[in-house]
Amino acid sequence: MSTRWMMTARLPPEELVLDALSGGQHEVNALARAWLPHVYRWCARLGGPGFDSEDAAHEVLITMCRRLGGLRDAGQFPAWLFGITRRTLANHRRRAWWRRWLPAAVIEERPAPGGPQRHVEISDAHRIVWTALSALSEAHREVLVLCELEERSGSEAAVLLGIPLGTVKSRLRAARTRFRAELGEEEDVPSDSVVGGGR
Amino acid sequence: MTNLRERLEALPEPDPAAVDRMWVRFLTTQAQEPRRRRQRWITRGALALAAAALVTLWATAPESPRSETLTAQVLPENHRWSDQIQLETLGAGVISGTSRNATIDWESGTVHVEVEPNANTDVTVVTKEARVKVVGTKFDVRRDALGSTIMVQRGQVDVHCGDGWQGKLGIGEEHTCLPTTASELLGRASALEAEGQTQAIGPTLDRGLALAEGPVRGELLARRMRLRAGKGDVDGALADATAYLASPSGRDTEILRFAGWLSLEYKGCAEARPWLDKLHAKGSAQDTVLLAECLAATDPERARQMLIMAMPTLDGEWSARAAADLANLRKVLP
Repeated sequence: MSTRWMMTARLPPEELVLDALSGGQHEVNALARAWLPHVYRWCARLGGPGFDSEDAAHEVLITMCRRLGGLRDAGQFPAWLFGITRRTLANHRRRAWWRRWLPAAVIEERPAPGGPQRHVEISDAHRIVWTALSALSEAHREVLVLCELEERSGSEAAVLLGIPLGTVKSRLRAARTRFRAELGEEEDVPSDSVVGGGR
Repeated sequence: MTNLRERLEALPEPDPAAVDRMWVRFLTTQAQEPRRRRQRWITRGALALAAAALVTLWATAPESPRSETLTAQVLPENHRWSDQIQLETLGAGVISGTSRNATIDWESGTVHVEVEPNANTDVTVVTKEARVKVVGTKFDVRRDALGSTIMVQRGQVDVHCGDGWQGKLGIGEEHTCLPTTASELLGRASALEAEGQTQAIGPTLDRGLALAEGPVRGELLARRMRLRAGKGDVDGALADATAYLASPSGRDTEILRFAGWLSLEYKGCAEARPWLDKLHAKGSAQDTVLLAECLAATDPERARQMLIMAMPTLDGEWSARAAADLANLRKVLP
């Protein structure tokens, strides 16, 4: 799979954050470059269809650069950045909702690549999964995307979400059950090993 | 049953090329950041200035005037018009204006006004007789039949009376602005009489007569006639009687009799004759007796005829007096 590299990418090292905090624009840009794929992926996964994830990811990085000086603990950077992403996504959704009510508003749907037939097939599968995913609470959706789709360990998810590992596990369990229920499937063997063991 | 991860992978993959696109966009934005930051600060400054201007406008915006009717007929009532102006009223009036600039149109009764000193507050109390302007003080305005009385308890008030008096009143000072119409001055005279303030009655009647016409003028003349007579000013009283009778208004006989008897008492028959003649012409039997007594010395026959004519309508004391007069006349007449 050509895009598999993005899913399995490890989180950038903490040193980049320390360099950015003590360095100049060059170090800040290096930090932004390292985190850009992760931020983009979160925006694409959590934003859903019809969502301009590129625009949102760009805004997250710009916000990160502006507010980096206020970060006190480099170890908290992943959770801090995920928090910025979460707020930016919420803002974009709110703006999209408002735009619907504005006169002469144009709601853009981004076409999938691969021609009309492929577009229809992808759209059907995509729509079903996304419908089930969007029925979940934001907390469940986040933990499911991070642990199941991005194959992150429970520890990594805990760092990004800024919550204890135990909470990640229980939240993931509940999210899986709910997601399956939304898909109309029965409970299968839980893949708790993903959470516990990581990659 | 499908694996959960497989189902999730049905979601479209993010476009790998997008990362490069976004990176270029990010670098472009960062290059423009200093200029944007400067524009942001300019915008924030402009917004702050606009907000400050709005706050200033709001703070200095003129307060909308309001109005409140004051009616306390039995017990005094407290009114807190604003932090700077408080009233206690027993009577009727209307207060209007703003919290720092109020006018009280006071109709009747007493209004006690307290204005916070040095609070840049203007209060004006307006009655029919007075205009009292204050800046930070405590005072009463009482409006009754006597007029509008201003009593100062603290500070100083500037008083303009409708009667022409104008001045400042300090702590403990009091002034009454006189009524400005003849009928109200007549009412003031009655109130003064009831209160025993006889000294002030004369000037009040004089002021009323300067303004009066018609029945009110007659009533004022009658009052002054009695007042003057009571003080021994017979000529003055008779002058008032003459003035009254020049424009008769219902009490002619009473005024004629008062003037006739007053003349007879203090001036003698010669002065009383004109009054008594008029009373005789009006058919007043008891006044005919008095006229006959005056004529007895100079025209006894006419006096006897008058008494004989009057006798049938006299009774009691006056009948006995007429009989005695006739007996005396028989002694001098053939």
